[in-house]
Amino acid sequence: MTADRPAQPSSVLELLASPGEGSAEATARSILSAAQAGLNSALDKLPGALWQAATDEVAAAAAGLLDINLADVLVDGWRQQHDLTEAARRTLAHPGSTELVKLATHQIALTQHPYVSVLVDGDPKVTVNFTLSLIFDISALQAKISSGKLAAVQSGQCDITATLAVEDDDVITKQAHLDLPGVVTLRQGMRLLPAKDYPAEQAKTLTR
Amino acid sequence: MTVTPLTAAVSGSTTLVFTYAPDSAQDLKGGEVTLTVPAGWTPPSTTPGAPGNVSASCPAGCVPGASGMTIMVTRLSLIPGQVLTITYAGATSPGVPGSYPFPASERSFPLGTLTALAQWPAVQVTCPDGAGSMRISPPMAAASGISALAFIYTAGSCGVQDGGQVTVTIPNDWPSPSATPGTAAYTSSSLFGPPALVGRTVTVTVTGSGLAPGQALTIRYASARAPAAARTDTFTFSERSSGVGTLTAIAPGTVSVTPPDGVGTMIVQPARVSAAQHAVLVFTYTAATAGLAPSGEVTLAVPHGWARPSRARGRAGYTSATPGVLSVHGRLITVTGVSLRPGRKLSIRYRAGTAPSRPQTWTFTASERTEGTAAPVALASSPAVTVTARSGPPWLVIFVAAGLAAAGGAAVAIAAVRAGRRRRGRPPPRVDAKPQPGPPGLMTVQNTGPDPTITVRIDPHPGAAVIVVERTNS
Repeated sequence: MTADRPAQPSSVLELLASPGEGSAEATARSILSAAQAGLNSALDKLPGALWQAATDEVAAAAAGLLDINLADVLVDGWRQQHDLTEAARRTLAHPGSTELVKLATHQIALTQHPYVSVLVDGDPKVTVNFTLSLIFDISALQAKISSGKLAAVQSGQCDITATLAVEDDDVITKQAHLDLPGVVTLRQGMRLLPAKDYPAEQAKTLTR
Repeated sequence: MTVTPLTAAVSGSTTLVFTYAPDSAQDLKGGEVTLTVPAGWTPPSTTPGAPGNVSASCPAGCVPGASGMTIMVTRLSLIPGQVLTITYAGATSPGVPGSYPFPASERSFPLGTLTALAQWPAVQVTCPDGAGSMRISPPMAAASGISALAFIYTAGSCGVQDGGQVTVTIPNDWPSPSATPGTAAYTSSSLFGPPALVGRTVTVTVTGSGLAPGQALTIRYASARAPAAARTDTFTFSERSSGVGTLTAIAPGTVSVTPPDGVGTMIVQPARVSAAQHAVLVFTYTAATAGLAPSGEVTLAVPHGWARPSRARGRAGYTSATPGVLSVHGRLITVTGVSLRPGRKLSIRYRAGTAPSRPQTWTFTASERTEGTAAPVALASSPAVTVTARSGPPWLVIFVAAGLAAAGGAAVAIAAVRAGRRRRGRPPPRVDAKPQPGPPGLMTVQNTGPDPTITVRIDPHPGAAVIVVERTNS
């Protein structure tokens, strides 16, 4: 007997969440509860009577900050991958041509430093700093490129490691394995080059 | 024998002064000192005022002369401690940079044998500093985008000699250059090995045979996150043409940081409302050339003084959006999940409740990101609402009249107001949290495995073969 494979996370928030945490704010609150020390140090300047409200507001704000689409990060990284962008340029230069790229094992790493400003009666009082690190280890990626766009992800595996820190204290690290064809969904293809490189297409339709 | 100065600009006019001092145990009596001027220099001459004029100064008399490319000073008497100076004035240096030794020889007596000095004076002919030109490719970058800039230095007509340097200084709003491959802002040079990095200055030191005239040197500054705001940034450059030169500025270059994929616009209607009156504001966003992807978003910050936005129907600040998925965090309204083609619009309807009572213009800061991984970019112009003072309402006139008619009643009214204030007490502080994306994230992409990338190209021609066009090792 085999266990059902868990659904693949589509966002950072989903990746960091534990099963059954419900709403985005509940998830963020759960994540922040593991960072009580860091959060306490950040909220230390506030009167104790305001901590509950502040914690709720910070959780709500953090939920928004962590609602980052994983596929978008992947595609953004591939836009910096030389072999893919060169294939995109070639297929753009030769309309009708298609290139199948079996990409070398590669890693995309993203670090962000979002923060939440806590305001009391409109005055900024406290800043809660976050550090989010995402590492995508991608292997066996086969991509189909045509018309300068990523037309299909035919195969590929990705191991993601996400780490969130609050006030420089690591809060949570979660890992997930993704089957890329199921994660990156493409309708009209995603452009791999700057929009200005698709002059004819711009006039016709929006394709990202 | 020594010479001053030790350097001369290429093809420049210069005067060299050679100083000869005999050894401590050496007397010259009717002796001779000769110097051979290297090819490329002005032939020496004894004609006063002529280019390459030769004169000599010696304490006990001597006779300067010139023949061909040789300077000779004869009938020379010197004792230890005395010196002979030979001035070679108004000479033009060679057009080719390099070190030019002046072979020198001496004999102490008229019938002695001219013997080469152990050490000959030499003049380093150098190219002028601050020569050549630099250009930046490409001269533009998308705001918050990852850019790879190439600084292409082209040597001037004289080239750059061994020990010369070319520098690039990165402006403060770009990431500091890195020497580590694969990291952000990794900086490398096409020639002469890795550049030296000190702070924001990248220095390439020219070695060996140097750079020939017109030869190019490329300094690459890769994986650098461009600033988030549109602007024109100036990169400064300097150059010295030899190891003895001075770093001298050359014409700077600029990089135009453009809004990524175009930034949309937003207007508000009405743009004027009366103070303390009920107001409903409709903000209309129009997508620019890049449109808006479902993973992108449009944000609008409601300024303090206005009702906090809310998703609760019926409450002051109730906000809705069409099309799109609206969320509210503190005073920040975010609309996402919308696919807009260029020129298409979305609307945010904000029921403000009662407008602020203070007349002034309020700016609702708007930003967008065309897709989820792009950094938010402030719109070039955020919508603003002007709250105007309103004239006194009729009820105020009635109230004043009534007050004048019954002064005692007014006192009672004031007391009632005070009592009311005591009953209500001070409202609890309002706590909001405003999410901020922070500085642009740092993204790196690198190959990590031994497997190569294989690219197969399929041509559109019927019956065409499948051809492996590229196989690159990681």
